[in-house]
Formats: sequence, C-alpha cells, structure tokens
Amino acid sequence: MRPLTIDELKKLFEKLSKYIGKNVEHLLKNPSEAHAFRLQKDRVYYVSESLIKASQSLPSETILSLGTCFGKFTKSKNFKLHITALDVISKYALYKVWVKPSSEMQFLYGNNVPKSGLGRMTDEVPQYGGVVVLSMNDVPLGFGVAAQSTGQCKELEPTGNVVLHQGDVGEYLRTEDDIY
Amino acid sequence: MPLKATEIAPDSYNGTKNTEVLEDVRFDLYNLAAFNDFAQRSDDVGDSSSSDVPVDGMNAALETFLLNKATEGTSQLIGALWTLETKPSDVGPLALLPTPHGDVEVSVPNNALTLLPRAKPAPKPKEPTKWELFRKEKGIENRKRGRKEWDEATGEWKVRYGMGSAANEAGEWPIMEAVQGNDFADPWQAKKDERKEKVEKNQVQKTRNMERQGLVQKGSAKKLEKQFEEDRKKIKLTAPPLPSGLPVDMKSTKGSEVKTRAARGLDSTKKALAATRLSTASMGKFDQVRKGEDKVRKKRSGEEIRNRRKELQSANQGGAKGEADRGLKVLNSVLLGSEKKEKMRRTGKMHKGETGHDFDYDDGLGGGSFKKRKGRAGAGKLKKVTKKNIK
Repeated sequence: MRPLTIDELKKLFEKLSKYIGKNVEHLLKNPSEAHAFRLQKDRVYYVSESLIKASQSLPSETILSLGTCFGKFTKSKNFKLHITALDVISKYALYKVWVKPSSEMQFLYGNNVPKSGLGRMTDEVPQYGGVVVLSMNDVPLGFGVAAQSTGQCKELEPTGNVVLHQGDVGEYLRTEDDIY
Repeated sequence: MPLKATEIAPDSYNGTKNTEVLEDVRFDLYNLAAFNDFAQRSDDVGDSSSSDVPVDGMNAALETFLLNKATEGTSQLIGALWTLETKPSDVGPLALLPTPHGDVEVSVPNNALTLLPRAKPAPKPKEPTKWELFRKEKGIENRKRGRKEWDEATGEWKVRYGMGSAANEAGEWPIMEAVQGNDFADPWQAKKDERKEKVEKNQVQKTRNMERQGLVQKGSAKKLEKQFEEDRKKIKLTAPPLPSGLPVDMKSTKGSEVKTRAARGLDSTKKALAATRLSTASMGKFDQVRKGEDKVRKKRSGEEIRNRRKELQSANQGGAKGEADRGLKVLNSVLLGSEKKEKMRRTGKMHKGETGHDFDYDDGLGGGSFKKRKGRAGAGKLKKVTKKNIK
C-alpha cells in the first residue's frame, strides 16, 4: 500500500473530474475526516486517515481491500473507474440522467440507455461528458458517458443511445469476484 | 639562634651512612629504567604480621621497604642521567640517551639494553604468485634482459617495447586476410579486441594472485572477471558490426551544442525504428523482438526508481494535510491544464491530438514546419511606408 505518484494522481483526477468536475476538491478536503488515496495491487482506494493509520501495521501483501475502492490502473496504466465509487460520484455528480422504470433493468444488465428509456436529463451535458444514471426515484444505478450533448438528444430518434454504459449496480452480482 | 639544615635532616648530610646501604643498580638508560638485582631477605620484603599490601598465599609485602628500594633506584637513575652528555636547547639542557644502535657514547658503567618483545606479530612470508610457483617447480631462472634490442632492419639499437621500439615504429601494416563468412567484421577492431581481452585476462590473474596473498577481498577476481564478461556482452549487443553501406551518424558541432546532421546512420535508424514500433495497437508490447534489438518499454532506471521513492516519501511527510495539499496542486493542474503540458506538446514530448499517438517524430533530419518568412513580413511589423514619410 502506498500513496499515488503525481502521474497516477493526474490520471485519477482526470477521470474523476469528468464526472464531478471541481468537486474532487471535496474528496481531498473531507469535512468529516481527512481522507487520502492509496494504491494497493493496482487498485485505488479512498481511505480515511484513521483507517490508514490502522492498516500501517499490516504487511502490504496481506491487505485485500480497504476503504472505498475507486477503480484500478490497467496494465497499460490507464485508470478505470469501478462501480464501487458510485456512492461518492453520485453525491457530487455534475451531470445526471434519470431512467424510466421500463428501461431500468436494461441498463442494469449492462446495456446503454436509449432515448426511449430517458426520463429526465441535466441541461447542458456536453458530448462525451461523464454522467451518473439514476432511477426516477433518485436511486443511483450507475454511470456512463453522454453519447450526445443535451441539445442533440432532443433531435435523436428513440432507439439512439443517450448514455453509453460504463458501470452499473448490476456488476455487484455479475462481476462479484473482481470488483473490490 | 639560626637553625641549621644539618640539625633538621642529619641523614642527608651524613654521606657515609648512605653509601654503605646503597646497592648498585643495573641501568637501561634507553628505556629509562633501573633494575636492582641484589638478593633481598624475605623477612625484609614480606611480613606475615603486617598487612600493608596483602597477597594471597604469601607474606604481606612491606610497602615501606619496597618504596625505599624504589627511591634508591630512582635516585641512582637520575644521578646516572646527569652524567650523560647534554645538548643545549630552548628548554634547557637535554641529555643524549643511548640508542639501541650504539651510536651515542655512554660513560655509565653498568648500562645494558633490555630486549623487549615486539608489539605486533611478525609479518607472514609473502605468498608466491602462481608464476613464481611454476618457476620454482620447473626450475626456471630469472634472467635479466637488456632494455635495448638490436634491430636488424635499421641497424640500430632500439628499445625492446613501448615508444620508440621496433614493433611500435613499424606502423600498421595492411591486414590482407579477410575472414570468410563475416564480411562486415573489422580486422583492426578484432585485433584491438584481442589485445583488450589479453589485458583484461592479465588483470584478473593479477587480482587472483593478490587474493591469494590476502591483499584484496576473496572473490574480487571472480567479480572482476564477471564484470569484464558482462561488458563484452553489452558491447556485442549494442554495437553489431556496421554494414559497410550504412552511413555513420554525422555530428556537427555548431556552437557548444552537438546536433545530428543530415545523414541518417545507425543511431538515428534505430531511433526511427523505435518510433515506428510504438504504432501498433498494443504500442509494440507484443511484437517480436529481434536479437540485439532494444525492448520497446525500457525497464525503469535506477534514477527513475529513486525519484519515485523520493516523491512518495514527500507524499508521506506532510501527514494528511500535506497529502491533501499535494492532491489539490495536482487537481489544479488537471483542471486548468498546466503550462508545462503546453510546452511539452510544442516540443514534441507529448501527444497533440486526442489519441495519445499523435506525435511529431523528430528524425533528426531537420526541416520542421517552421519557415522563416522572407520579405517585409519576415522582418516584423514595420511602419507603413507612404509617400509622406519616405525619405
């Protein structure tokens, strides 16, 4: 377990800022308790200071997981966001998309969100901006990338994709083994 | 009535009594010592009733008796020192002590040098080198060879080896034989390599001898040999024989900076190859690598590892607050885009487009996209020349 290098931090923040923009600052300055990012076996964890201190007495190889897993660095050193970060992301998300109950399940099985399933959407979502997908009663379901900007979505045909799927809560069941 | 010294200490003025008792001691003036060899009565030396200096299993020594003897000896020693020849100095007269070599004459009758054992063990005899062992076994005798040698070609005496020797002054003769099957091999280089190998072999043997003699650490000869071998391997890997048709990278020294010039040689060909190898989807990771070819992604150098360790150490130092500050700094540069990034893009160290593969490859042949403009615009903005201000 170690802190992230500057290059790794950059990659992490680049990815996070797509979803929550400047709000990354709130993660760094957590009012409840100081938190920090830690790397353990290529996975990035968001860990409270007390937990970091408690884990310091453990040999690094024995730690399987700690704090909140945000994602992992792939073999080609890109950062991939995991669904476990959804809690934090949905709290500070800039762009949100609400999905109709009828296409909720579709999304939860790992499919994109078509225009026909679109319930509501934040204004001024840029194309390829990171969005959080919520059900109509404000339960976060996952996240993805806006296939079109909000303006273009209005002219889209019903089968056209609005949100390209990146992660959904269904992964807790589907990829249970390597999610943390 | 004045007090007289004789009345207070009569013994010191009563010479006859003292000389009777005095036992002549043996001197060792070099070591500034005096020895009393006279036999003493055991009753005088020790007394069971006295308990001055108790010694186990012996009569207790009589401290006063021993002190008296010591005083006698010391006074004789000092007296003997006063008989020595003196040399005047800044701090008063200095006595010239006898030396073990016997180069100072001493008039003291019973002076003798005491031989002391040496402080350190005697040095071991030097281990013979391997050649010396062999020589002894074969009965080869060392014979002196003159430094000069008769050179029949010139009819002169010449130095046997080194500068001015016949072999050295002959110059390099053309090497006529080309080795079959290896067209690119350089016979001169081969000769040089052979010579170098001999020197290295000799160095190893020398170290091995020193190892046997205990002058260097054990295993250092093996270490040296391994290092030479590794160096040789490295040279073989990095510098394959240069095909005769391929030009050498020409460097031009313009100012203080060395820049590659127009001819693309082995080095820049390699660089160009490295650049093209990154162009597959896996960025060359799964490509087959030929023998002698560099790996696409190099292992981290020691310096890089050290730098990273330093970086992580600094991250740990400031505690939670320090780490948050560090994070904010990075976040700022991510959100605003740093100037450094821009500069890197301009200088070609960072990709320009979105794909991450969009580099301008510098092949060292010069000729960028920038061209100096000719004409009036090239000189910069000028005042418009009109009829009115023309002169």
